[in-house]
Amino acid sequence: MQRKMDHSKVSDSHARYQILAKLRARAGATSNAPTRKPESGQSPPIQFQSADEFAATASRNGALVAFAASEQDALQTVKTLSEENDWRQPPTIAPELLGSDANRHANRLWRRASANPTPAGSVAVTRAFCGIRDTGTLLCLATAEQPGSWNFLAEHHVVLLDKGCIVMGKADAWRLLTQKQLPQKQLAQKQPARHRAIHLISGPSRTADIEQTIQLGAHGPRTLTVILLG
Amino acid sequence: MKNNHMPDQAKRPPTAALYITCLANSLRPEIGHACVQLVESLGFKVDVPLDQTCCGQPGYNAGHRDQAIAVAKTQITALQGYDWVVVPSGSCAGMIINHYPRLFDQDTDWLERATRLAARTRELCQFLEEQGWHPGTRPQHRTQHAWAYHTSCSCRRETHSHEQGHRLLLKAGIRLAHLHDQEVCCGFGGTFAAKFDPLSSRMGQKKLAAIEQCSATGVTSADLGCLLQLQSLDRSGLSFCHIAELLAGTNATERQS
Amino acid sequence: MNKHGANGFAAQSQQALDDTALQSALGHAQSGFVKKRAQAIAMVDEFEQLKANAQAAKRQALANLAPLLEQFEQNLIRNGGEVHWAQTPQELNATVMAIARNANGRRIIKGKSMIGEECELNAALESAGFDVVESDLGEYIIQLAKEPPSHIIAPAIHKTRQQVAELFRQYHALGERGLDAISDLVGEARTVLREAFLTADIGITGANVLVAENGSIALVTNEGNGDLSATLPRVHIVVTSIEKVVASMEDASLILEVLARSATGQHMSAYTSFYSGPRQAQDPDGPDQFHVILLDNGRSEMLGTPFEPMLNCIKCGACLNHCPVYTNVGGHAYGWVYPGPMGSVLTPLLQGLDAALPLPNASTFCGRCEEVCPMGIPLPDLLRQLRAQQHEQKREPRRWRWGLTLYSRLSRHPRLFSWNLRLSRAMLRWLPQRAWPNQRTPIRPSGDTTFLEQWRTRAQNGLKNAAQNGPQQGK
Repeated sequence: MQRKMDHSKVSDSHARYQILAKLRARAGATSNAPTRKPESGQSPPIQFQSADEFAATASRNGALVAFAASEQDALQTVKTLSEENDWRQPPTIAPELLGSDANRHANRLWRRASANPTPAGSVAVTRAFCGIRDTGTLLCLATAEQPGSWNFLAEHHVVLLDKGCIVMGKADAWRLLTQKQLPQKQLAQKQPARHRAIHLISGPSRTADIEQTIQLGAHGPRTLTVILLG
Repeated sequence: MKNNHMPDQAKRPPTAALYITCLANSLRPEIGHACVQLVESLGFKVDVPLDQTCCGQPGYNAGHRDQAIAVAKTQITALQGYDWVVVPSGSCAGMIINHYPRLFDQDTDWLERATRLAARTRELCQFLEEQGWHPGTRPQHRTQHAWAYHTSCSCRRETHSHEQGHRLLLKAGIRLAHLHDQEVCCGFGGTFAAKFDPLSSRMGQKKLAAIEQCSATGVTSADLGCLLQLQSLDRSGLSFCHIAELLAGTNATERQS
Repeated sequence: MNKHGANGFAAQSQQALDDTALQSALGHAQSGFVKKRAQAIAMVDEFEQLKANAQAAKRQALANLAPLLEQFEQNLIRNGGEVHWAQTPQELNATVMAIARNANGRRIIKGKSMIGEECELNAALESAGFDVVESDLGEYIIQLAKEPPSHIIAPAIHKTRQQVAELFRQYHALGERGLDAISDLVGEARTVLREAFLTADIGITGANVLVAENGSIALVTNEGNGDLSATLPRVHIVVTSIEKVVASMEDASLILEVLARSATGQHMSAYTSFYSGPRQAQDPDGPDQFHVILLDNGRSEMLGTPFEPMLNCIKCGACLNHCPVYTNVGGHAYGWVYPGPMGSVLTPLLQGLDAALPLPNASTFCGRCEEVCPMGIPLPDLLRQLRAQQHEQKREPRRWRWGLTLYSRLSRHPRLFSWNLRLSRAMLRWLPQRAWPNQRTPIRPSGDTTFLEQWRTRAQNGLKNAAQNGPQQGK
């Protein structure tokens, strides 16, 4: 086994050399080598956007939008939604949202579980890093407390988003991630030097692969609910 | 190379050369007469240079670049010295306006001549609207036929004059039926129609189905190629008429009705 | 792939025109994609500006491909990932298999990847004894049907719901489950594939963009299948190609702004994820190994040539959806994995001119593909240049070569040309119906002679006529 791998490494490095050499040789022939203007000086401070407009663009994507004053209210909303919509399973909730260790044990990972790990009516509740108004998109980070797979495994995904953390476009969202312009609550999420995954979520899972007819819940959540906090 | 005299209003009327296109020249000469009448009605002295042949598009689109260059030189020479060159086809006008200059990117002298010709060349509808054409004293009754206006792909995407054609038709009192999917090709595509006849036919039949759906009894377009493509596939007895004839009021179908 | 490949286009397109199920399936596609794209673009203030931004980001990346790829590699290695390079599909397939064997993996779940299709990766893996399951619904359907994709973003667009139901009945243990509605079909696939996600050792996905500044890959899906493939298995292998790299997250987002709008008419696809490497100590999930394989397969040869703009392609499929040829014959007629206008350019460039002689000619040059292309690729012009290559290498059919040459020659001699037209008029006047293709009625010339002849006569009699008749009125 190991020897085969080594062999492929060798041919790999030959391929690497060949490809890069060709690209270098041809880069000179490229007529359209443009140079965009370098960003001059400091970029302006990020303008935060209104929650109502985000609510509008997110609903356009097929997300349900609710409002809550606090995290406690939001969890109450999840409870109400579960009862109204027959979400039969107890929700899996990101520990940071629970505010204490009390329910952490309930949050076992679904990954590689033996029995059917995501039964009908399963619910995941997570917090978004920020919202992107333009496209009604939630930026969710894979973190120690919010595994990336939670965004995809449950039938119903509920995402809490702070009203004060909505930016205009993706560029502002990247700046939020990489700069120090973070609202207090997001600082906790920002800790690692690298996030294994950044998920931009714009609506529930969908497919139109059969006769161009849109169907929700192809592989991921059938519903996406955004609860705007604050 | 002759000097390109700028129009001198006081001394002589501005001149316009009609570039008739090989299709109209050989198959529908009446289009040429309609064009002459339309352009003359705007006060231009119309000439039809007898040395014009074909814009060279068949060879050019087949990738015969050298031959296209030779043909283009013949046309550039035949069309020099006029204030304007008017072309009753988006396809051939687009060839002269957009593609001739690109043929001579290695030849500064001819590039200059091609660029100058391109600047003076207009698709018919483009020219008529720019020059403020109006139907004049011709009775402006609404026409008997409801016409479907097929905006050819080349008027739409080469000369960008399809909306001008539409406005001119309305101005002339032509009753227009609302045609769906106007931006879809009729399937002509020059040699494409011969190389891929079944496919070209299906595309044409779909266009005809859309025309029937809008209850038009006639089809008009600024490109004769499209009209001939559709006419050869028509089974329901539609009238086919170039936009020049409709605007000039010289179309037989409308005159009878 | 199709038996005759791209060179069978004429016969394959005829077959497609006669296939009523296919024609019905294509009908849905035409209206769906076109309308949704138009609506999405109408809702954006400055789509032209978004296009220009995306094109600028891509142009800059193409001008710096080698350094950007090295930067990407360096950063990904720093993140704990591995980068592999492949000049050919064979090298890519061999690398995938070596990684899989090394990780003792047998069960593979795949997210849709056009690079995988280009390399015929599934066939290679299956013949080497791996279990491969496609997880994109459309890809899964065509995997069951043992067919290549017929569209780059909607692989099973040629299938009707009845045909899909038939496939599921054949391959699934259905029990009580019904398959009458489209939602039943989607639910059925969800149930079966969820099991495959949870038990797979290895996940293979493509990538839409590679980000040099942080070594991330961006993956865009609507179903979430790519993310499950990237997150649940122990090993994640990304099969992608060298032209997908851009400098920064900002440049990547400029491309994302136009991708979904052009593809499905969404402002964003449901899921766009950036993956930067394997799981770290604090990560509760994610793969232990993260590999990116960079394929060249002829792309570096396009750089610095007139075909370089084709490297701008972000595989959105807008040119397919708006092409009057594609929408009438579907993807399989094109004979390889890339159909429509982008395929007619890419197939001869990647497979060789001789492997796809009809494709560059199978266009009316209506120009709609270029109009809708978010990356500003001059597709008709590239097709024309491929025709020129065929001409230079004497690969076009002889009758067209000589016929068009004769016509061009005549066009340089006005008098000869005029005789030729008069001759053609006479022929067309008398040509019998049977000389025309089946569905067509003959076109007959009108008038007595050509317009130029009439004008010459008028000019000769001009003075006389003017004196007798007053101003000329038309004919």
